[in-house]
Amino acid sequence: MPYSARNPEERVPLTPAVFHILLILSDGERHGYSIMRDILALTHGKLRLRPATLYRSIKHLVEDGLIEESDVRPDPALDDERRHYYRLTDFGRQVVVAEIKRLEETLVVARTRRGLRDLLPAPSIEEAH
Amino acid sequence: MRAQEPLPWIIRCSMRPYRWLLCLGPASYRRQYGDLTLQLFEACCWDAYRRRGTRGVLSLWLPLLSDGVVQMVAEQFSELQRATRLPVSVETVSSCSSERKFSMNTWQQLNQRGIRLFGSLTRFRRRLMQSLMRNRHPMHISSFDDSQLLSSDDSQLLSSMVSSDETLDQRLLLDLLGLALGEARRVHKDYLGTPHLFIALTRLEGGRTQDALRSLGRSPEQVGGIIRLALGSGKTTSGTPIELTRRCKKILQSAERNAINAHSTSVDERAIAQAVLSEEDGILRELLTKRGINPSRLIELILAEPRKF
Repeated sequence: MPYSARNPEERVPLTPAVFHILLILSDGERHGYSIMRDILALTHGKLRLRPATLYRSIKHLVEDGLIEESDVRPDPALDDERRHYYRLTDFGRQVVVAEIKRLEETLVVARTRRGLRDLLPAPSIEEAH
Repeated sequence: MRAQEPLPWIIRCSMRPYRWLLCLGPASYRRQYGDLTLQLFEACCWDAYRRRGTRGVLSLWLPLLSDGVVQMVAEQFSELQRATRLPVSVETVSSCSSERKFSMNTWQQLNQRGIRLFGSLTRFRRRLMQSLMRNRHPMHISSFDDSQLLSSDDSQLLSSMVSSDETLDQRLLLDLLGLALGEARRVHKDYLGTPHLFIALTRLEGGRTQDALRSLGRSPEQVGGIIRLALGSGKTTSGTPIELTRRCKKILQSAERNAINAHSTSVDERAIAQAVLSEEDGILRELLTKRGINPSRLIELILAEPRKF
């Protein structure tokens, strides 16, 4: 089946590792090491992907058509030519958006819970509107 | 460039067990991602070495090696699961076909990987047909209008199972099975028998059977009509599940043997026609003989027809 015909809603929820990989790739092409470093920075060191976890996730994402290998390569003088670059596919972008919406909905529900309301930060003006 | 710098002994020593560890994973993973994983491991070691020297690299051993073991074992399991997951049970086939997601080449792909499903292609197709018949939507056919049959849920269901990369022979087979199913429905039968398969063969546009009948001076439509008339009509309602008759099951098995003997990669029209017409003591043979059609001669003509597809 062509990926465009697939429903991104069927792919969510995503695991934290997969979600963060897709999130990082939403900004453009990255190689494995760059993905690993960016995730570490993005999560303030809370999510540390090890090499095997990262490449196993990448393998499954490629197989599922969420990401693809990119032919775009930076200047060889500035980069290790052994590196493989990956980018998000259209379907991958739809999936990450679906996951973000799901997380948003979860957050809205969490804010309505009396036991959690005071512990969670209030939504910003943009969020409230 | 980092790749050109000499590797410190501690990184060299760390990479060796990591490389061995990747052997725990499936070969497909190693081929595609083995080098990349090792390269990333090396990059992690360099980072740790720059920050804390040898001690930094040593501190990586436990988390990185344990991650490697866990992920490689998990990948082995997921490979195994993927290989056996989809069509191992009739239930799965049935649910897939009802969702119109099933691809007929799954059987072939799995067979290529050494996984046998239901023993043979014929048995697999039979089960698939049975599951289709149980899951199909009710169909109302009031006349003998072909377009009604071809646009029915059955036809859609069967054609939707064939992905674009299927060979024409496989599409032909599905068309044939769809026609036979429609034929049984049309005459309100609760079974799909050999004569239905033969009528379907006579209705296969541009097929070998049509050509062979025409070369005998017979109209395929007329021959199909005669057999249909002789079989009579049943009393089954449209929602009743249709079962394959014992003879029909044997015919499909025989068709597979014919295909194998002919060194064909798929059970095509020729193999099915040969099996259907070779059936001894069957009503079809009797009907054809009574109408002056020699089944053996018809087989010869069908097999002699040049390959069309």
